[in-house]
Amino acid sequence: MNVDTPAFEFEHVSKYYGRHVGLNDVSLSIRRGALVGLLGPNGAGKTTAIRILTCYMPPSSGVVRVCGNDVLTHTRVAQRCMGYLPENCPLYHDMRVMEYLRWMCELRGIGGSDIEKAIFNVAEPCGIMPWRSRLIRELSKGYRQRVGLAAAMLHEPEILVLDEPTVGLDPIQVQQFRALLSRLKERHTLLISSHVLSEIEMLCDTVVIIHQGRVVAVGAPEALKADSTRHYTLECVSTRNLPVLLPGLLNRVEAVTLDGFEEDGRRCIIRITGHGADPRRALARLFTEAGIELIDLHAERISLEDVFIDHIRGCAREEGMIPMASDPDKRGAEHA
Amino acid sequence: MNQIRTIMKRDWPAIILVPSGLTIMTIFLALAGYLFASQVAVTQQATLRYLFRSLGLLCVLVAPLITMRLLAEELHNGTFEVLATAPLRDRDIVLGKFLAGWKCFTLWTLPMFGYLLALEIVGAPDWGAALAGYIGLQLLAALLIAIGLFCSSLTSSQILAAMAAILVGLALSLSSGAAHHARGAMRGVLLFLDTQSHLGVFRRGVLDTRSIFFFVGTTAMFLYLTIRSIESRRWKFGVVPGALTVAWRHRTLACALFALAGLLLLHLVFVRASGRLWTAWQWAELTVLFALALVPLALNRKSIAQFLQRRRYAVVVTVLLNSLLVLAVWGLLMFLASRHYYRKDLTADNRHVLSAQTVALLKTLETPLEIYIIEDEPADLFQQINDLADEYAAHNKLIVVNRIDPNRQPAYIEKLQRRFNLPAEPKGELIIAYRDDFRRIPARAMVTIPFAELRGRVVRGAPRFDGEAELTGVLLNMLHTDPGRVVFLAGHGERDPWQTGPQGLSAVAERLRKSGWTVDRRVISPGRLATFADDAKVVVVAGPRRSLSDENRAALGQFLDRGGGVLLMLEPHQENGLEALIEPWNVRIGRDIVVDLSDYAGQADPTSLYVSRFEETAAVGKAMSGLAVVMPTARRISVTRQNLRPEVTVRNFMHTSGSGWAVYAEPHERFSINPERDRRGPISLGAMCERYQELREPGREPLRGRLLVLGDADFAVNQYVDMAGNLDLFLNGVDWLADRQGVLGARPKAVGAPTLTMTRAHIQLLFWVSVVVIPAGALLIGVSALRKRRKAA
Repeated sequence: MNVDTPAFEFEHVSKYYGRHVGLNDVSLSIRRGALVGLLGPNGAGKTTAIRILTCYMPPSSGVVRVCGNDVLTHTRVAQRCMGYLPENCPLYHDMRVMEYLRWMCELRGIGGSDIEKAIFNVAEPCGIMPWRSRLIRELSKGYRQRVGLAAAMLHEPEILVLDEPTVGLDPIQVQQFRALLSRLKERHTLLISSHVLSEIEMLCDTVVIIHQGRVVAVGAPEALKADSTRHYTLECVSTRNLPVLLPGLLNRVEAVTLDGFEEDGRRCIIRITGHGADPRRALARLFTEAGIELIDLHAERISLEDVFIDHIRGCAREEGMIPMASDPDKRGAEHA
Repeated sequence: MNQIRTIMKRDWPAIILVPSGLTIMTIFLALAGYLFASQVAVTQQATLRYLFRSLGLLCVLVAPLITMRLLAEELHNGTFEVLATAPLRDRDIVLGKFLAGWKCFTLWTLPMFGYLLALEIVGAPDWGAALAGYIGLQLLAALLIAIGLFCSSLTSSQILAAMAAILVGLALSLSSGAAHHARGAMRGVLLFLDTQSHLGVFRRGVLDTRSIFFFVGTTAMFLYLTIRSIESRRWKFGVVPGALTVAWRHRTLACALFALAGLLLLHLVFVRASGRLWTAWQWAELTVLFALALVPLALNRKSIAQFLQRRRYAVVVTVLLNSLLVLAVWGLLMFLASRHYYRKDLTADNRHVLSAQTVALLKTLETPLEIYIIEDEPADLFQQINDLADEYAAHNKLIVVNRIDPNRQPAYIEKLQRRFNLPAEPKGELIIAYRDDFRRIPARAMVTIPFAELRGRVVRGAPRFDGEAELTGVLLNMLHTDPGRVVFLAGHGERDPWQTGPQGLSAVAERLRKSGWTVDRRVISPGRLATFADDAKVVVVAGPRRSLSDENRAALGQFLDRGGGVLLMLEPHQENGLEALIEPWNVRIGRDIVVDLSDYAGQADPTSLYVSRFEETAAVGKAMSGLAVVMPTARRISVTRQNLRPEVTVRNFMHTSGSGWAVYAEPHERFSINPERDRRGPISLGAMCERYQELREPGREPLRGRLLVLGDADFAVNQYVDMAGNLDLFLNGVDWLADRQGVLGARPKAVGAPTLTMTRAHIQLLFWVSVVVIPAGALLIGVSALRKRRKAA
């Protein structure tokens, strides 16, 4: 396979369940070695996308390629390139860990002495060696997850697809699991679907936000944050005519809206949302010119969660699902 | 194949090598053991056939227990996603799981061979019949597992899967019951779908390609449907909003034409369902229906083509067409299998192989033949009668067998009584109806109780089932004209047709009567030489111990001249005075005794001949093809080459092997072969002679007649007649003499019931072995395998 070939790509992929749209014209290309986080609210189409990618179900239209292989025409080859840990980590609870891993090796076409080698290669990093003789049903949720992950990695796949891998784990298990994923990042292209945004932010170098079957944002977390809406807090000495002056001042700055205004005796705290370039320099100049004494002007720290909510709201607003009453502009105006 | 093995490797221990699986197996084996022990104790027969009948029904409940978890549990737990995203084909998953289920059932039923070993202690079980039954049970289980797997693929609920599988299994098991309420092709289909009746063929010890094809073909079809069902879980293509509403041209017209076609279709379905005659008018309706449906399709062909080009519809249409194709292939396979079949009887005594005569007779049926079996006690006799009727029906589709239980179907009995105008309610009998004729056979008539003389006393032998001879005899009477009369000559020490002792001919006389002959025994009265046996077709001279007088010879000669047939059965060392009668027929009787150094019967000496060489170019020889005759002692019957008479056609039709000798020996003297004096084999033992001579005197009938000369008489006596094909030789000889070519062939045989004489100790032994030892042994093996598996893991 050519090194430049994307690890996987979606080309105008749609999927319909009855009249419900699962995926709507999704196009996406992920380079090899990336650690991709798939974000989206419930029912956004994350699992659908993963199931199409893992050849569990075919797309209604469009083309999906895994390591350059079309999932419809070269299904087995595509499946050999991937390891998959489904949501809730389904396992055969009546089997023992080693028995299950051995069986999965045979299922993946690994035979003879390679079986023990393959199991050792995955069991050690996943930390399941001490539990290898246990029945799977006797393991904790975290260790079951590790067994599932080990089974997905047995054949050393190019791509690892993990659907909600940390759901149901306690905080310590989540931390351990995260550490494990960080180590795996060096050897595999990882696609993780998750609700936990902090986790994605911490682990992934590429984030795909999916909503109502459509990809609404793709990129590195930092780039997404940079492109996203930011909030600013401006603190100044209170003057009598400040509430009157403020709308006029803000109108002179490009792409900002007033979020809130609080007066606390001698000090005023003004919250502003910026929709474009950084407005702080312009704001400082205007306030100084107006004779208002600035105490502090800083940008709020933005998280991926903000980016995510921002995109989801943006989509909802486009479709008219969020009423205009909740628009921050209006709230600011009312306050004013 | 490796992938199938891998899937199987996980699934079969998951079913059987778990505590619940071992418990079910133990209960199943204990229940089967109890059924076996009680059935053997009640029926007193060393057979597993009754057990297989119970197991056939039990399987309907047990197979779903195996299959319900195979796919439904995977779907419920989500592990199916693990399988489906591994590099496996759907067919690998389905076949792996099917074979795992089947292996479990096989392992569960394998200990049942222990029953046969237990039966070996108390009697001689028929291993061939048991093997056939076991094969049938496995094939039935395969079908039920395939059905269960299909149901398991439809739902993620194990309970629902099991219930659906039980329902389908029961429907297939009881479809013959529904067939009584159906007519025509539907009746045939319902009868054919009955799994228990197919199992019944195997239970009897018969392998029939029709039943094998039914089980294998239907199993394969359900496996295919399972693969498609699994596949369909992944289609989930759904519908693009508005995609279904293809832009139809002339929408109103199309709807109207479709509605009209629908009405016609409804009418045709009504006509078919109501059993009315399908006339030319209906064909016209069908044509119009197609025309009406084709018009809108033709008008919108482009839209339809566009519609079908979408990937999801193309796949759905392909799958539908594939499924239809598989159904059609299944139907075709079943149709061909029902037309061209092969049956192999695995029972030790070939009890279910119909004689060549019966088979030939059944082929001549032209219209439906109905056999009504009005059941009664004893059950085992009616079981044999039912088996026999099934064998008849298996050879010709025109034979319809109806079993009636008078207690449960009194209305049916009344109907029969009215139809055949019977004075009383029929009970415990068979009614055979063909065209406008019908015959009744009491069930008791199908059992023969042989009597034998032992140390001067008449003793009763074990009853034997002689149903085929009886039924075929009745059919012969119904299909052919009355055969006529056979007269056994008496007065010269001949074997007696009324004598039931070992040296009597009562058995052959009885069989002649069953074949429709009237049997008589006469002496030649001095004053009635010219009219001797003028009402008979055949005269049998069975081993006269004294010479016939000239008058008697003349009487026989005149009988032959009138076109009669004479069967001469001549013992060695006995003067019979028949040389003068035989000479004009180009036959000579040897004054010797025949021995065969290679082909002699069992432990006897070489004078007891085992004759299996028959000339197939001669009618009787052809009828005896594949059979053999045991002749306790015989003399040579040869064709003379001197003074050959052209009006007589004579054939040697049976002879010894090349190691045979015609030896000159005195009575009661040990024979010794003198190569210079004695004649080396093959030695002829029987001759068929036929004559046709036009007489010059005007107004006189031409001389006709048939003569069959056999070098032995004892082969037909009660003591030997049941051996090999002795009875066949006698009956074929008589039928050839009466020119009844159509009925020549191997004759029906009576079969003994394989009854046991069990003591209380035997019954207890069987109970302990089958109900305790075998299930406990199987449980022990299962537990040790379970422990071994756990240790290995």
